[in-house]
Amino acid sequence: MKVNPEDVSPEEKIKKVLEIDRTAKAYSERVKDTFVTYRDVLTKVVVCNSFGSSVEEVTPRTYAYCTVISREGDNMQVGFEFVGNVAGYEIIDGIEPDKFSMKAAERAVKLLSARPPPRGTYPVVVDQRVGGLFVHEAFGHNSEGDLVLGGQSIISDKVGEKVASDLVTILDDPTKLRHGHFVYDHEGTRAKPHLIVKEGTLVAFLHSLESAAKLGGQPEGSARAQSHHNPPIIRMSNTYFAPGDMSFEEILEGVGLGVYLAGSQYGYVETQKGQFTAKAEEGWLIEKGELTEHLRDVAVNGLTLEALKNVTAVGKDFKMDMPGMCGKLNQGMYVDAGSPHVRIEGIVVGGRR
Amino acid sequence: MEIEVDLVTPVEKAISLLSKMDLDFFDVSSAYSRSLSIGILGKGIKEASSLDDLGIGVRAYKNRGRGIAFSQSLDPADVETMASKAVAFAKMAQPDPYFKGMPGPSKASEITGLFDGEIRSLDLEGVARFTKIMIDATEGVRTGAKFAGGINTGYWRSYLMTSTGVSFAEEKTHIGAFLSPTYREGDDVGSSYEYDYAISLGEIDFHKIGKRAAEKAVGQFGSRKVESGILPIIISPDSSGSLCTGLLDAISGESAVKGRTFASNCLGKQVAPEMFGIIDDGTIRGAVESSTYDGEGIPRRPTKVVGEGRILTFLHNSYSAGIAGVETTGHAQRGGYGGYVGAGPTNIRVKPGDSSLEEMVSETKRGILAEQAGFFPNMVSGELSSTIDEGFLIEGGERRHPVKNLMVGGYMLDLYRNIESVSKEGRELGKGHFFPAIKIDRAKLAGK
Repeated sequence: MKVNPEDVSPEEKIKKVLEIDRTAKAYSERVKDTFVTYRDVLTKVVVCNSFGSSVEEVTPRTYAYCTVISREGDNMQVGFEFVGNVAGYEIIDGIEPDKFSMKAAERAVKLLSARPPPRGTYPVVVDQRVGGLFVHEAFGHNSEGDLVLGGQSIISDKVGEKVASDLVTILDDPTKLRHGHFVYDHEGTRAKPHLIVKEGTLVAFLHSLESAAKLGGQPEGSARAQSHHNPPIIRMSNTYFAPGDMSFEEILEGVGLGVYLAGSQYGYVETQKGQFTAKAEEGWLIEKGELTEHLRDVAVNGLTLEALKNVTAVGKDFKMDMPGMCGKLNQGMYVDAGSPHVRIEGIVVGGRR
Repeated sequence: MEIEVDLVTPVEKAISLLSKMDLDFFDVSSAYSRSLSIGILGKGIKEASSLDDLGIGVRAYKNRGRGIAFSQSLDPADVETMASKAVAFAKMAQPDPYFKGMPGPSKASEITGLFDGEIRSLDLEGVARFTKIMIDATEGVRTGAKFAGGINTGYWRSYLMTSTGVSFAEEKTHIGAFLSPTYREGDDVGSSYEYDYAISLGEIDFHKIGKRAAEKAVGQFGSRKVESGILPIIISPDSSGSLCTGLLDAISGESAVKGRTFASNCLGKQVAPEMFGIIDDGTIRGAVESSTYDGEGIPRRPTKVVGEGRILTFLHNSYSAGIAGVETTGHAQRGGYGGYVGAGPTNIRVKPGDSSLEEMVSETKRGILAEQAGFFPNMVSGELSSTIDEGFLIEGGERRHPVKNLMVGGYMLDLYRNIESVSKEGRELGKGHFFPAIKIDRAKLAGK
């Protein structure tokens, strides 16, 4: 942390928030409403256990969100932009409202003229945020050792087996200085990077002390609790799809008719069935390898193992930029997710067309 | 061991402090809760936990600027720090031109049946016994399931005082049970869930939850993909709640009156056929969402929200009512001691129709029965694209097979406009909600 948020006065924080807000409002007459939120959180965790572990960890997290509602007649759309990380006020100082607010406002206004996606099964190309959401929802939860032990995962008996195409490598790495970062988990285990899938083969699960002992794995620090009110459970941290070697243009090539999804909104998974849903902020139709029509309200549904086997292209343009909260067993937890651009065949796209 | 906590004295002390701080309006709320939970995972109970939570929160207003702070300690020094923070924030906050003040005191008839002494005295062993009843009932239908789920019980009381003379205490209990069995036959999966919640222990039938969960799970074996198309969709009583909540949330509070939701311009407009209606009633004795007062001290009242297919009123707290230039409808929602007050529905009761779920199915040549699905729209645009988590393809008036990998898309208001029939029977939840089956005559489905 370079700038402790506690050393910045509330007046200065309000000034920055108002500047972000004013810039978003000024973008267009079609901007109807704007909301800007600033938040900083300082978490201090002390863990002692009967193994003799005794650790203390202090983590700052800082955020800013800009949400813009646009309107044209009865048509209203929403766009947003955000920053958030394990960091201090320096990430807020680094916000240039002309870029940050404009992104949210521009997206909201452009969505007014976007069309709903076509319905059906298509090849889809996902950007780094939707790719991150996909890897978190579709696969990450299935690799959590407690769900494996409890018979709630579709990959519980598949260690060592091929569960995805050769292009797929998935990791969860709490040591990366992203939103899901920590040094020790809440059972006092030192965090290490976890390789989950290597070139399509399931290598390992995420473990707590209990699941590692029962399933014969190595505890590498995946148990975290929302607060002192909750027990530590197995959580992802910074989960990501490892980069490949293709350019975005190469990934689009060969798609006759498909859908490009950008910006993640939310997702969920039924791990026991291996069915996931993911909602993107916006999309584009892909026609003959080119992005054409702008799309809004794009959601996709897929079957995890089918989708992972249908990954046919992985980009080199990796980014981890999805700071958020993941909900599991009534506990929210800080996570991040990332990916390069990825192409997946045979995904159901919901829509009104 | 339950903590006996005095919630009143710290609130009175905070009120006394705040009254000397040159504010226009303020309120202070305190709350104590105790809960017991049993978590189920795999073959049975995974863990048990108990939780005591306590806190106090302040909302302070100066020149229409608002400051909010809360503390999880009732120690006088911590309460004073919290009050000072809220006041400092209020004095530096941007003025809100829409804020008109806080409501004064009102008299109300007490809503009874919101507290069950049996729940308050439950211990973890007692809760564990109910867990076993659920699991045994599931095993009675078919053995070999792996489970997820749990039971939680809670006792909660709170106290609110405002600078406008409102002061009242509330006490409530709660119990909720959820069970999701998963069966496997090779790569085929039969999985579903069942749940219930109530104020009183006697309202929950744990055996029925376990049995129904297993029956539904077994019925999901052999799920198949379905082609895309425009088909009728029957939304079961288990799923129609989300359809109703999606609309009521869009006509609640600040977002609705500031034109930020897809239903903001629907007041007084026909949004559904004439046979469709919704009443919101926070006065039902013994119901989960009932209370004598709303979160600002306004008496709860039954409210006809949708009548003959027309939206008759928005659901207001004092803030949104002030913007709309109407009286508050008593729908302020205070989410504990955190200080924030929103607005939203209480017990939602959909007017029963004259059809039945089985009639709807038998009258459908080809369509989808959505057993479990969340119809949650984009609250701004009203567009939705939802997965049918559990459902059946209907052909020739019969359930043909379970479906998977199927989505429904459209405008929320189009789904309401296209309501074809409503069942007379439905699901009572928490002794307050009533959700029937709703048939939509055409919906856009995305599949293979």
